[in-house]
Amino acid sequence: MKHSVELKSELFLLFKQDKAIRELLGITALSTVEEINKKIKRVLGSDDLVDETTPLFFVYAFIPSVSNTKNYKVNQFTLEFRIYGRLQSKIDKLYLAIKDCLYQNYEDMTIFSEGSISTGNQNLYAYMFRTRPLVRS
Amino acid sequence: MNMVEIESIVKQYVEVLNQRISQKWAEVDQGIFTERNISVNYLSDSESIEVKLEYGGMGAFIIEYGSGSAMVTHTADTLGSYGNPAYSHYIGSETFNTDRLSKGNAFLGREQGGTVYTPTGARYQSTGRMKGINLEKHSNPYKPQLPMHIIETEIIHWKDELGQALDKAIKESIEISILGAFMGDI
Repeated sequence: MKHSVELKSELFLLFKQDKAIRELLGITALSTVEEINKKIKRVLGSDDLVDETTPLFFVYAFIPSVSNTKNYKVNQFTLEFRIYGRLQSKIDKLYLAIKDCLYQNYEDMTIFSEGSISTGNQNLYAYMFRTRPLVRS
Repeated sequence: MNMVEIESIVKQYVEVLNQRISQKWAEVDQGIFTERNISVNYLSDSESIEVKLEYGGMGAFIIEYGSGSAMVTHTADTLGSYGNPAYSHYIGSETFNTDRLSKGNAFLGREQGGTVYTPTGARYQSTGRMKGINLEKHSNPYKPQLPMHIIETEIIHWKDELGQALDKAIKESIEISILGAFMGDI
């Protein structure tokens, strides 16, 4: 079991190596770190949503939450994923790819909440889902 | 489990909800929609707890329900979830330029000397040069903001979390009481 910050980094490595996610996001062997960071974001800045140069990207981050265990060694916090894109069909495919990647690698990443969200931009759609992974206290 | 323990759980979750909303506001405010505030009031007695959440300010209103021609015009009564509860109040207020009603609520230039209300809460007097002109189609447009419904979306998901947390806490409390009874505590 890892700390939340370690899990975040581990997930980044997993996502950028996942074949289906790479294909959907257009990540190739030639992609630079900056380019990958624009497509797999660990934090969302206020300018990101109006960035029209990236047609599909997702952001994941631990968001404020209440721990759900009483075990002093283990916590369960909320990890939120938000997928943004110009095409709803691509968002759906990326959602399935991320979900597959999570389910193949973790037993504690079941989705407990999900749904469409508004982006505040025309022709930019978004879908959000949340998991509650076990992390070290 | 007593009401104080339940209130403690509810307060933890309310804190988290408002942190999430504040975080998302900050992500999308573009440094413009910054006038916003949150107020929380708890009313509890031995049998119930009531939480009154109030979100206010021009910035919060615009982020939630949009602005200009993109503003949500259906009220909560007609649309249910995601309806704009303040629409009637807004179009009846002095801050609203009623000429906009015939132009799909698009931003229009005001008459000379008319007060212009900015999203940051500041105000200034119009020169009248753009009176009646659709500023959303102007070369240097006032961009309408699409509604983001951050508060309503967060609350919809949060209610499930809070419900699960209370169910779990109550279940654990009952289990401890039953176990205590077998061990002769009561």
